[in-house]
Amino acid sequence: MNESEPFDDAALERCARESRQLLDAPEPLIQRAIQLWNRPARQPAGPGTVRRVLAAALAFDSFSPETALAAVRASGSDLRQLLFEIGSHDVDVRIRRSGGMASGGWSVTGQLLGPEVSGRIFLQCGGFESSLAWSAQGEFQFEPVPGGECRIMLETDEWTVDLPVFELPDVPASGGR
Amino acid sequence: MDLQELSDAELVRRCRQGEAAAWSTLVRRFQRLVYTIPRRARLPEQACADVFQLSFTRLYENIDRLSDPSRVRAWLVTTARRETLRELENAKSERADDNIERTSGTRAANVDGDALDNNEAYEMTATDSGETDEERWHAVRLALDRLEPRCRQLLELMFLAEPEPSYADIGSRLGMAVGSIGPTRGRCLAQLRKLMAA
Repeated sequence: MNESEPFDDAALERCARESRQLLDAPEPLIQRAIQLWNRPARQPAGPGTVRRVLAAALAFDSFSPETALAAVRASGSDLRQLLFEIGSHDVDVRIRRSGGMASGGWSVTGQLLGPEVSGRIFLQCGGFESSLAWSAQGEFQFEPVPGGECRIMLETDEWTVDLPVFELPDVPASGGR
Repeated sequence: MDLQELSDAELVRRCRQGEAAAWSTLVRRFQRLVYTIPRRARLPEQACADVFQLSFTRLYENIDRLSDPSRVRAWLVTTARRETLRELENAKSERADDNIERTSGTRAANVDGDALDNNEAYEMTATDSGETDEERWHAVRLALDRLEPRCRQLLELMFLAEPEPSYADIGSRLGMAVGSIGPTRGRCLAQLRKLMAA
């Protein structure tokens, strides 16, 4: 069977059945490939551009995702802290209610902790996507960020890592502090 | 026009013009194809992720230089296969080094031993047209995705579901008389064939 010959039914059925061997890539991998678009100008790939894909684990979450918004309202505290471990570094992420989006959004700030390294951080929450280079101190800030399923990806010249997905509840614009 | 309907060449052209959504569509169109290549070579998950990321990184970096944008699928397959072979070679070297330095009987290389043994056997299984198995499967799945819903549901149940359902199950799930499944399948296959030829 090839492109220049018509498929008969039997060949088509066989090919369709065999296509079960195709496997979907994990969604974080797909997201990382899509986020390549936000990188700086395209450069020819050389040996030095190969990046290791690191694994990340959530080490601490000050609120459970299900109760984050309720806890913020009940406690009067507007801070949720998440700490992710990624091998030689940790990522400290702090989430607060934002004054932006008519008080209907979040502020996502944080810091890459560990040996100094430069790189970019990508944030996707629902339909929101943004990226920036973290500061010399490893700090970053996104604001305002809407609620939704959120993914954070960090990338340096040597490695790239996807942090575990976390949820930010939608914040009604009228539900100000 | 829905980006999903665009040809590979048109998506590449839109990427070159800076259309982010075209890149996203391109990645989603080929993710299954690219990811399956290292998986079929039985590389571990981490190495599969590396091959996947590197393949799309190379495409991103070279998209302006593709001489024939309509061949982007073959370009990605070749890149993913080359990186898969590189991973297999690296792991094999590590295993050889480990065999020399082995003191405790444990192996340093974190790769399925069978995958390493398959290295020599792992080569392009292209047809006369130059298409690999993965490319043929990819073409069928893309065409399936574009079928009208009734046909797509029927063919997916018949050919992709595991375990394969009986005609009675299919009839019950789709609300079809068992006697009409065969003729409908024939019509749907004809539509599928037409989409693949388009």
